[in-house]
Amino acid sequence: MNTFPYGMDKDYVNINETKKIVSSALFGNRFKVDQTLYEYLIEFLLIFSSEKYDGENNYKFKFHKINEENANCLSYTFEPRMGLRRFIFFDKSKKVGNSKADECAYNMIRQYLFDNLVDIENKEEYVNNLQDLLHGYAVVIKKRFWGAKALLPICPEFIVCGCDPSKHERKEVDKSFSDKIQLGRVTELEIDTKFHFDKRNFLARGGELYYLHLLQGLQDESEKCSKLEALLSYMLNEPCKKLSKIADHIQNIWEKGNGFKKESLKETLKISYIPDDAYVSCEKFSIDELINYLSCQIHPINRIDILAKGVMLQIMRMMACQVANCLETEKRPWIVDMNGTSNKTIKKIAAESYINLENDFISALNKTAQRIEVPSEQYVDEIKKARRDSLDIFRLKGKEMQCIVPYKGSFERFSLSEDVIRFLVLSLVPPKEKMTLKMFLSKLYKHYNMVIGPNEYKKSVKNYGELDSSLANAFNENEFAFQKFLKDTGFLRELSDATSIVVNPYSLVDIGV
Amino acid sequence: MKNKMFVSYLNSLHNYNAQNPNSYGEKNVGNEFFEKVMVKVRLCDFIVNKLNTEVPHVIILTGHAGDGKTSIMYQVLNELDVNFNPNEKIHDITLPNNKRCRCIKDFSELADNQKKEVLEEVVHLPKKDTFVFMVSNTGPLINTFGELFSDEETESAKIQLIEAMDDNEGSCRNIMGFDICVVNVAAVDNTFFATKFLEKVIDNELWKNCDECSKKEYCHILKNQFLIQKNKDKVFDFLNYHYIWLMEYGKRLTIRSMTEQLTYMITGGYNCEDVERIDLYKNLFSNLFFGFLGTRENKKALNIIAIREANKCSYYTKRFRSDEAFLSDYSDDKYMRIFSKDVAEIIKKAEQKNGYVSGWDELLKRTYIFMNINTDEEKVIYDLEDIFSKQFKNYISLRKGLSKPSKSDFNLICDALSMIFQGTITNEQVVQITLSRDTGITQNVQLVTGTIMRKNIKLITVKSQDSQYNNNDRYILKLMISDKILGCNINLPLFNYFEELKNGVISTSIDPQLSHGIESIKAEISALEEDDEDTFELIVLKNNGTDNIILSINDKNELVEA
Repeated sequence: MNTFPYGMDKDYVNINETKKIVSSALFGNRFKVDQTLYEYLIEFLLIFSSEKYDGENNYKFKFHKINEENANCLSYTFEPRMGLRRFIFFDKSKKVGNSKADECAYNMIRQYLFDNLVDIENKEEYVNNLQDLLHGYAVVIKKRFWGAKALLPICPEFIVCGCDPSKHERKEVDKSFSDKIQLGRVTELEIDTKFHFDKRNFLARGGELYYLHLLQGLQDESEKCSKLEALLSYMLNEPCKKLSKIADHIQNIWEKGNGFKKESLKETLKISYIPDDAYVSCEKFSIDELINYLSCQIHPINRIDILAKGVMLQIMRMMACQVANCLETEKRPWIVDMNGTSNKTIKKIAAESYINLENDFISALNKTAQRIEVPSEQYVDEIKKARRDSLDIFRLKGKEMQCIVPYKGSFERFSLSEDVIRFLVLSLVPPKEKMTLKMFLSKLYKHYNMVIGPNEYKKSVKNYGELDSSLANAFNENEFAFQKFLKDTGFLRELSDATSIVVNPYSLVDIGV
Repeated sequence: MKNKMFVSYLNSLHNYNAQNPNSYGEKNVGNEFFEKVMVKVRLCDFIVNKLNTEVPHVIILTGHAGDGKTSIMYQVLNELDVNFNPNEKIHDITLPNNKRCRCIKDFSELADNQKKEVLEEVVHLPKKDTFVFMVSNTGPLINTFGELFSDEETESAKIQLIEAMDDNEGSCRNIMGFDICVVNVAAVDNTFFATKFLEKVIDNELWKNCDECSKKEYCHILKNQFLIQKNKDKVFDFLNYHYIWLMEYGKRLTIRSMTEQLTYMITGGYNCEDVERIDLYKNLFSNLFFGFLGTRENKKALNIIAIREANKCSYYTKRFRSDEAFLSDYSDDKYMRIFSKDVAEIIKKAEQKNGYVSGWDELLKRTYIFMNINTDEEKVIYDLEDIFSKQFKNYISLRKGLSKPSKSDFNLICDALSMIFQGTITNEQVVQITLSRDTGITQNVQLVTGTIMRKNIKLITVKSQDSQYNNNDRYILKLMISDKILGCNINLPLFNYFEELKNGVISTSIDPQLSHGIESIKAEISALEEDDEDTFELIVLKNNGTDNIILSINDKNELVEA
């Protein structure tokens, strides 16, 4: 089995032959079920925007340039910005272990800010306002430790890496901190350096796999690569400059106050691998869709919100591709129930096809487990684990995006929500362009294997011949419901009752490319 | 039963009884009554003018089934003194300017193997100094046109034709080397049609035979004709408004749909021989229009698309300020005060049977909507606001070009923009563009990324593309910010939503049509110039108003108040 980037075979062998991790052997290193929807996008953007080194130059906001030397050790360097994160999240989080040193570190950063506000009377209120402003962009909160929360990645400073408090070391600091306070001297804030960044958020590296998937597709596609780089970097650097400045300023004040050197705070992480043939069949689609989507002039906040879902949808497609690949079968159609009909036919067919897809996941995991020779005593547990870290992601994230319904209950099947439809239209139809509904439906089928109308259903069921009339009617109704939804969301115009066109109404972003 | 033929013709135009031979254009034009009820449209003049004055090219008339394409062709040929033979699919004529013209009645009806051959031939005719005038549904036309080209060119050819249909400019353009003008009737405002058609249908001349009929005393068909005639202004106004309302809310009806509803509303599906002595109120046109028989809903009537849509609007379930005049007034002559004598009598008689039946109030309101005799201007305006929406009358007048956007429209838009970006109205002079999220919860501290002076915001009306084909001009509302006209239109649903925002109604799960409109406005405005200055303006929302904080970073890297 070969890997991408080429030369990561050692890593692969380690995971396959030593650790026997089934899901990583199948999908790459690695998907974990606890990663939240936004974290896939955040992690992907973190790697994209981080500093990279090609042996001669440093570069950032670009994809890795792979050469013979670095192929087995791609890495990226970033700033964890713990000061900024402490400022935004500490006060609004559950305090772990009630650490005095932590509390003190938080008060220190506030103090630095008070000192930095000149000629202002009610400094506290101003600082609180800044905190509220930034906290308004929090996107992953849950009941997490403050350093593991995340912001909507609308500017580079908001893209945060995974972070884990190293409890043992922190306890030590806390203890010595109490001693120091009793002795009446607090000079250094070691506590702000005691974190682990190599664990990613809950050990997941899903965004990294997505990055590698794109990177693989961009090899020998220099034109598309520079276009995508320009668009991503525009999205991160242009629309929210001011917010970026404020965040940067707060982080700098903290670094200065604590006497930290920027360079010494930087962290470097290594990139792992994906199986080299896993996602090849959808890589061109992912890249083209992303380019189309990012070329649309949408509101900056909505752009990120919808993108997070789009990226997740593409990741779901990646998984489905690799499953089919592993089983050496055709990709399963995703029969999408648009809920437009009281007729239960579609619901049943869709639910059945979804179950088949889930079964395929399990078969692929079993096949992989046998390939890497998981010992029989661990077999059941390993498969369970692998299922959690692949199929459960597919299913839970699908449900979160309302791509798989119902949230609870039987007859699970594919559906589409407003945001996902928005992503699909904007990524399949270039800005200001149009196509007929028929063309759009066949594009959905080509890119995602999604089946909505009767034509695509016919294609998906080989040798079926003509559909019987009740089935054709049911799919027609389904297509009609989809058409109505597109019309309501402003993406469809009817030229006549027989012909509708799907339109991407947004204009092109001006990035000077 | 002296008017049997005409009533049966009217019944043949709708599908209540599942028999509607004349709802198809090519059948209808052959009927003796067609000429009498036909509404002449300006699109006909537009085409005649093209044929008379321009260099030969292909004119394609396309649109929804039932949009009146065949009637338009009939009118054009009539105008050119050419006899229209509904059975002849293709025929060549000579125009008054001696140019030749090939007419194709319905391209989509040609046999599949014939289509390509015919189209192949006709696209080359303009080069031989011959016009082509054809009617076609869009689907077959697009596909066949694609077939004329090589595999590589097919897609592009189809897209170009689709673009032409979508732009609907009415001018001749070069598509893949051929001169073609596409007129898409589906994108043309047809709301004027209803009243013009109804006016012809209720023309007393067509009903004079009924005078000699033995059933005339109790015939609801005749009564409906009479009542519509008598309350013509109110009825016509309402119909016009109703169809505009539907169109603005994305439910444009075809000419056929309107015809079905209007003819059914008069006859109720009865032919002369079926008319019996039943209470008149049951088949009153105001009930039939919405799919009711008296106080009961008539499921069968809801098969007629236009009736189903009217029924969904259920104006009669809304609260009217004029309710008091008939719902809580118990005096004997109350109906005489709001209705004409004929109507009051029918209603009074019906009340004895139905006064306490559920649905009676709605019946009264339906009657009121169509036939009240209020002339007091204030009351009339109240009614419009209550039946449709507060901004409706104003919007209509802007739409028709009767007025220009006023100061209060302007304020409405500016306030709505403030609400959209900040969730509150903070400043009288400017609209501040903030980077807020749409989570339904307003962020209490927001960063201003741009400022638009209110004086730089304008609400303008632009003549619609389809006005050139129509009897009346239609205007579209657009936002202009610092001399740049934004792409999205301010349509009636948005206008109504803005009014609701102003009144403090904030809903988080608004329907997709609205969320799309607001999303486009936000996207376009946010992309406008961001202010580059090195200051940070924060808006802090508090219980008792808002604070604006402006900060900047000085040379010493300190935060100071700007």
